[in-house]
Amino acid sequence: MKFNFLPSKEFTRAAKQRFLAVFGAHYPAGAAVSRTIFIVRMFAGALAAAAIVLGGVSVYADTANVPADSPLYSLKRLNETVRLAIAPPAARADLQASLAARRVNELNDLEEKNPASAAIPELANDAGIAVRASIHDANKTNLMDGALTHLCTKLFSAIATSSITMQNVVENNPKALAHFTDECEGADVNGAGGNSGGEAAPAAIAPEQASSGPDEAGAPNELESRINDYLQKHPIGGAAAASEDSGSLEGNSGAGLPGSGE
Amino acid sequence: MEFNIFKKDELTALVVRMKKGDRKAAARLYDELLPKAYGFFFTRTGHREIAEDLSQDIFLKLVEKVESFDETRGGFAAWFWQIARNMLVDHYRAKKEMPFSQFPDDMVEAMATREMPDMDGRLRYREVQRFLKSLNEDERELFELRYVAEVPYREVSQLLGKSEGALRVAALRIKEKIKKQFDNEI
Repeated sequence: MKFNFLPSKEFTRAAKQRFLAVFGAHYPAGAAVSRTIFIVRMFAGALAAAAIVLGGVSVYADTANVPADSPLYSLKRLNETVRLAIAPPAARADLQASLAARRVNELNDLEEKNPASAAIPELANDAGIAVRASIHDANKTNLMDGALTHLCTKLFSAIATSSITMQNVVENNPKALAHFTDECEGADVNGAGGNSGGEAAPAAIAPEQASSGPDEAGAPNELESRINDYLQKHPIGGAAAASEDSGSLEGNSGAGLPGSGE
Repeated sequence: MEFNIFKKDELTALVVRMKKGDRKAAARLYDELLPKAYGFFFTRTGHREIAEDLSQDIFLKLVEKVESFDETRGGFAAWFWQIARNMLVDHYRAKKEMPFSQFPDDMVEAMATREMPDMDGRLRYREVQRFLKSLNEDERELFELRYVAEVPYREVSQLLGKSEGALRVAALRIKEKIKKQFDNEI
């Protein structure tokens, strides 16, 4: 049963136009980078990569924006390989997650520009490899709680907004998906319990699960006990104070959630 | 195949892209949240125009404040719905109005006729209001966040300062009341 009353189409359309107009005023579209500037930047990147190979110097080159169909893409990948090779073990998992996110974005861009590109399957495969590698490195370095949650968040963010092709990559790699479920869900029980509209999710706690077991009289079942145990050890900071806060509206970079009054 | 374990952070992913000036992400965020925000404000105020004003304002606030959202400190949904709740508090303070759930029955009747264009809508309006009156304040708030705004338990837990376990137990009780009130519609 739906309890939400829906707005009219006219209002929805008009409000969206206003919202996007205000958004556009805050975030004017960036000027396209000319090909000349791009090539100059990429040659600088290529020289930097060559310096690493020849001189063993660790240099960061701005290759983030080179698309997969660019002639300079192979240099970008070379740069990444070098960065991975010299990254300390503790940083590898996070770097792998960043690269996985980058592959996903490249895949999305390529699919948008040229859906029939022959590079798509290979890029999808690379994306899958990067995703598995990040989880593998996270396991090896035994990332705990906050760091693992951060890693999982990064990967989730990349894949959640990815294309059907990327989702197929994950679907065709059930072990990678199982790894996500085990490692990333386990790292954040709050996250594992979060669901919207009662949809079932692997290892998530759907309302139906929460209601099963001998809890009709209100006693928490085993899953709820585990949640409560976890929350006692990892209390959510600032939520109670923030809900009574009538100060100015601040972002969540403070102690808790925004207060009222602005 | 629906990847629900990824979907839970889709809103946060969209707002991260929005902060970088991604217009498509901003539009998607709007499409996802506007119906819920409107429903939330309408359920609370009972006025279509007020719900429209508030649900438009919250997105303008979002553009102003999005830079202050730190995705490493928590999910976006909790942040967004806290803003919604604060806006309601400010609205009641400024207008000196009472929440819809406290309106007397004859006022609800008059408003149903004014606010809903069709018979089904009016019936639904009255039913929901009768139901809301049967809940206490805590239950009402949980109902609006979970069943109207469809906010995940994790975010509701942060908003209300209660454990997820306690919220799920409370939601079960609400669900029983929904079943009783709305009978075979569940």
